[in-house]
Amino acid sequence: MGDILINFPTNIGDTVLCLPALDRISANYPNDKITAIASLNTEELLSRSSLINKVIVFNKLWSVDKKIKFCLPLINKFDLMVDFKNSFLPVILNPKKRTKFIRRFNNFHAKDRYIYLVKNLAPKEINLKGEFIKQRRKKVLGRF
Amino acid sequence: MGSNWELKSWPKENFVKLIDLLIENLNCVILFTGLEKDLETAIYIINSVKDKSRIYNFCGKTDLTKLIATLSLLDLFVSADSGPAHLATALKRKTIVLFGPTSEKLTAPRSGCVYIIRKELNCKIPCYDLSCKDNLCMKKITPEDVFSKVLEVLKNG
Repeated sequence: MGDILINFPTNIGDTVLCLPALDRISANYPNDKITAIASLNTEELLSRSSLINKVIVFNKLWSVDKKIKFCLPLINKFDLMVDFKNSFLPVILNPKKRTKFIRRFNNFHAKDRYIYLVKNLAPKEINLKGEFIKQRRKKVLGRF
Repeated sequence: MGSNWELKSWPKENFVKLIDLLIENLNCVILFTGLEKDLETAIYIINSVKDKSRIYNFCGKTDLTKLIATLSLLDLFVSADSGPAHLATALKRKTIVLFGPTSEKLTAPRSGCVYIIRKELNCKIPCYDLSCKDNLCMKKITPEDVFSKVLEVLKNG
């Protein structure tokens, strides 16, 4: 069992468009624990996903000091990091595997772009569904 | 009502005219969703429409749970390119999305229940031009354009 970190976009709309890619990651790594980096906008939405084990909030408006404090416990902790935002976080957090930095697919729809981004790391194709659950989990105990 | 980027928002005067058209012709109930920052606009619209009794204003009053619950009740959702538009389509609600400075080819909600309105101008789309002063891409979408799309969607849906 491994640990996967996913950095989701800041806004809800973009995050909804990431859900098919999340489905694909989850299907390719069914026994791995998925941690999501969310914004204040997306925290509640992502905490409702049955595919995500833990949600941590990152606010881009934080001071550098606070950003460093956020990063420190996450360094070298993850087997795989998917960065939908194309940030520098994967460099800092140093996961074993990560999505590419150089991305040349400007004319793709965002949903396809996100799936393309994870294609090499999650090669098995699945029936995409983009799932919501109704109840927000209070405490994460493991995969349901 | 609003969006995270002011240039994606539709002028409030257009909302007033659209709501008047909807209530006069379809005898429908209108729900506003939005953030607290949209409240002022919502109040302007409510004070400007002919029949205020058929409007319910939820701006600033919904967390995500309530927003999703509200969206799930709707026959039709009209929105700018916004997060709630994506949520509404994920809930399989018929959704009309007004596109201006962003590109529907890149970021439109993906579903069979999405209907896009866009006016073609000589602008580069998506522009991401936060300094744009005229915002014609949204202003050129008229209430009549949206109303006729509403009729089409309700008739064919």
